Amino acid sequence: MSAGPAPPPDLLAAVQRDLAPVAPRRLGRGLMLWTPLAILACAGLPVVVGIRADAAVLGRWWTWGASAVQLAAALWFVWAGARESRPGRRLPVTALAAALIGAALLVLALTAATFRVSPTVLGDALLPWRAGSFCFKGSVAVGAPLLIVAAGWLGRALPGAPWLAGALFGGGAGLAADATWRLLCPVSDPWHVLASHGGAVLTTAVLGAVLAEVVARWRVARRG
Amino acid sequence: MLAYQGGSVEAFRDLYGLLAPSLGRYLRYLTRRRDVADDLLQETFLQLHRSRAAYDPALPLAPWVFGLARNVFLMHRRRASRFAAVHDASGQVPEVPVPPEAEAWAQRDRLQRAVAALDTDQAEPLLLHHVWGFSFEEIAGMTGLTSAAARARSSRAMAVLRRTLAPEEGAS
Repeated sequence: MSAGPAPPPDLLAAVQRDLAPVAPRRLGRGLMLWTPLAILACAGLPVVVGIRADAAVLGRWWTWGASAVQLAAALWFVWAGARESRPGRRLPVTALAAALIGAALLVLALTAATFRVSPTVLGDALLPWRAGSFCFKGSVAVGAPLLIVAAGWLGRALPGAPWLAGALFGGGAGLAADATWRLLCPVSDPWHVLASHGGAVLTTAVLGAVLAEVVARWRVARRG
Repeated sequence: MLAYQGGSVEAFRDLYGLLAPSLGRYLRYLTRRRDVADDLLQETFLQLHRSRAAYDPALPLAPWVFGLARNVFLMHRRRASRFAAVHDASGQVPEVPVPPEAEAWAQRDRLQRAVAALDTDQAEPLLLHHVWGFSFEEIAGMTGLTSAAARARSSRAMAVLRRTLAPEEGAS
């Protein structure tokens, strides 16, 4: 028995109302649950829809290998989001900035290399806009369920900067979705890839930040 | 904490008795107001209760709980936009803790005013390390700094404190 102060009656009553035993959730366990889902989306969709038409030209490395590298980067971002959402486990801002620059460089390098191996451009005046819109919506649609699953962890955490944790979850989900989408989309034109696919990654990150802020405000508003 | 995660109310009472005094001092330092700090202390324990499953028993408890209290304070600051009011200089001696190393340098009220006048970004690592005994790695995890930056800020704050109090130190 501690010799310190006793908890106020209101607080004790609130605790006693919901004192069911809980299993401690380790940081790695959530990631272990999320990873198969992301891999399933990454590998499953191309199997169902069909892989990009120029896969034979690109070879195994520039199709599956490049997507696997991008998926690994996505997992790092989700892990960083999980760290950020845990009190006392924040990553330094400098590490996050370095990771952000690294991810941007990775996407640029993969885009440039894929275009160099198999250059495909959209010729028709209207086609780039339509293809871009299709890829943007498709990539966001693949990323949204991954984001929701990742953000589910936020419901019981209390990050100091919810928008940052959410943006990291969103960026990870967006990168994983784009790792999938680049296996389907046969267009390697850098303008298309960066505007539509890259735009989808940024949009998913922004959605993550907004979602996390909403969850945090709801959590603070739900008192007693 | 494990017993509390297992559903023991006695374990919660013990945890409160153990942590509330130091957490209360930390929140009083952050808010500079006893009434607000008392509210946030209860809010911290309420959030701790809701987040109890998120605590990993393999990790030390104090950085997690202090990090939680800090996040509760940040939430409060965002919600109420009261930062200016919270740090309102009312003329009274502010209720801030003092690093034990500095206690010989001046009278306690002068020391407290000097600590309160420090830049919060520098003073927080200083106090977390010298008053509550956290390592700079643990402070980095709470604040989002690198451990080197936390150490540097703490040293700078200590140097400012020493400079501010130097005349009295020399006179004594």
